[in-house]
Amino acid sequence: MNRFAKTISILALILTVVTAAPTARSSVEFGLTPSPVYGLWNNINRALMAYARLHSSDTQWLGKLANMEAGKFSGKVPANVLKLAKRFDAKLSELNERLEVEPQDVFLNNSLLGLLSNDVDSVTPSQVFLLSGQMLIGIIDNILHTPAAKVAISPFFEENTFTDKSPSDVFGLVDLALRRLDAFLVHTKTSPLATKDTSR
Amino acid sequence: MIRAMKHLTINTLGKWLILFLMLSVLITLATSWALVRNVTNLNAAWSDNERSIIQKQAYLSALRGAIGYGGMIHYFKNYLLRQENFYLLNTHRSMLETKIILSGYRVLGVSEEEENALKNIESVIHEYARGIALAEVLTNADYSISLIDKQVIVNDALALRSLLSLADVLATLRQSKTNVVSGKINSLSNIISVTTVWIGIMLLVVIVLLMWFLRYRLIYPLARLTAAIGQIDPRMPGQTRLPGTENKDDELSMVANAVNRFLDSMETHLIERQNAERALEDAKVTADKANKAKSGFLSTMSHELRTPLTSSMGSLGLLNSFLPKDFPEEQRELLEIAIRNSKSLLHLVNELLDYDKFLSGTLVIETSPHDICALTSSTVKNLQGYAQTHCVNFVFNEPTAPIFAAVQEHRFEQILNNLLSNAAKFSSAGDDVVISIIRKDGFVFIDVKDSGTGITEEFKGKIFEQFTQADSSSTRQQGGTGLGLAISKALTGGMGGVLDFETEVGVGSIFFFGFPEITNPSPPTG
Repeated sequence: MNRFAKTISILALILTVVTAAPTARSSVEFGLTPSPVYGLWNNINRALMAYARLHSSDTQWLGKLANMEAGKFSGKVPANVLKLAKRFDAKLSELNERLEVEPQDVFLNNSLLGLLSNDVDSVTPSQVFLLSGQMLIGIIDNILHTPAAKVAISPFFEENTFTDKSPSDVFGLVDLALRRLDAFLVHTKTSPLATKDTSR
Repeated sequence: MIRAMKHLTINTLGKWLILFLMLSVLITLATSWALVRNVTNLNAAWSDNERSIIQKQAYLSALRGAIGYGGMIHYFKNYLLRQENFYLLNTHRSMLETKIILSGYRVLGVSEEEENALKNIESVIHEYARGIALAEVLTNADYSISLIDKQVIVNDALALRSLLSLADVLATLRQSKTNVVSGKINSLSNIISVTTVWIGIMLLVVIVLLMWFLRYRLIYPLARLTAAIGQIDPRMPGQTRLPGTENKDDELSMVANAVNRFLDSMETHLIERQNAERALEDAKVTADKANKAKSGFLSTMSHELRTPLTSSMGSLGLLNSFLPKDFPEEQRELLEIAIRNSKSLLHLVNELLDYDKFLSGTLVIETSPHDICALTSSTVKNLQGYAQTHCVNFVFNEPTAPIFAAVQEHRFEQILNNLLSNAAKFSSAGDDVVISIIRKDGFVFIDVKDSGTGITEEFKGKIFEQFTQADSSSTRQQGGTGLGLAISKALTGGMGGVLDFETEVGVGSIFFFGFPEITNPSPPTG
């Protein structure tokens, strides 16, 4: 390539990059569908029930908790699910405060969490999955720190084989988990819960 | 092509040039647009590829962190050996992260080789999941650490090889994409080069054709035209006409034709003028002949008149001198009238002869130093009788010392006589005519001042013309030929002097004539 052609090419390239750069997006899509998110919230519900059983021997209350079913929703989008999941996260924090649980030190990779977008309109199942995974780890951490707990946690991380789940289906499971957590919080007001074992 | 160029005019060339320039601009714009579009697409493809590869590399790095010895394997082994829940939880966390990263990697699009590597990693992850679940069960069942370590075995070599394989794939992908982009850039470069060369060739051809046109169709013909115009003598009729060019419609031929038409017109005008000049010359010759004939006639007639007139005057003088005393007074008066009129007629004839000499250039005046005061004084005295006939007084302010100038005595007296007689004629009875001699600027002037009616402004310019008097009606009243002042001025000029006047209507006039003063005069000769 001669010098003139190089100069022209470089100038054109610079011009193109300068004009095209502002339109580039920095968000990353992990390509997860609502189905693995559904599986994750299924595990969260299971972990939540295990956590409840660790803290209470009230079989009636536990039975009532176990008999709760997921509601039927429609027309939900990932943003709705994320919003509800954040409400669940807030309730979980409230429970941890009540149980005097220290903030957990096990997190998902920060670089992955940092990719979560604040733009509500561009919420994807992947973002819901990330936040949900973080909450699952939080609950499991609480289970592991429950005194005299002998619960196997690996099943809560099993990869389920759900397919064709919609955001509305996921919303139903998040709603179920939120109702169980609410019931858990109500129950803690009447019956004292087991104290936190901080040993590792 | 050459034939077409020969018939090309400047006007047509200009139109073709504008068309060519517009076409060039359009081609340049189209080429530039196409190039920019290509480069833009190329850049977009390059950017997308780079972004994809960079993201994949970031995922690969994250995979190494999640799976490698700082991640899942590390936590897994530690859990087996220490059986602490922290490592158990982190093992699961690492697996969760790996699941997300693998999904993200696939979103970017994967080749078959990449997909195989990803599946291998997933199989190892599943093996770890089974292993950790087994280890947890055994731990909760209080098995020994060494037993658990022996029972739970996971081979992660496949995952590690897959990570290396992915790194190789990305490196190869980047290189291949770079080669593709480089090839496209080279292709664009070739297009630009070829386009540049073709535009250069086209411009070169146009420049050569333009230079040919300018040299052979403009500059050379223009030089020939300029040279031909330079050889034209507008005073000479019958000039060779300017040559046109081969194409009679071109601008230079138009100029040549216009110049030729101008030459035709000018030649016609020149011939007409020459004819008019010839006619004028003929008329002049005829007029000169007529004038000479008139002068000859005048001279002859004057001579023929003067001879018998002189004889008559002599006879009348003799008759008058021999008249008896008792000659009847009435006849005596008739005789005196005859003598007086004869003198007047002789004076008139003499003036006519002088003027004729002046006109024919045969009037020769030889000058010599004379005392102007003495000449003036004697002339004034001689004309006192004439003054008395007009009832005026000549008052001469005679200087005490003589003043000399080179004049001819007779002609000086003739001039002064004329001025004095005019002053006497145009003064009222009883007036004084004052004669003065003034020296000024090396000249000696003789002033003749009267107290007549003066000369009107209208007549001032004609006073020295022949056959002219201030008032034509006065010619008959005052007498005279109207030649006096014209002859006096000619005589004064003939002696190297000047004659002029100052006048004021109702107050009078001063006529003065002067000659260069001679300070050391030699005695007059002859």
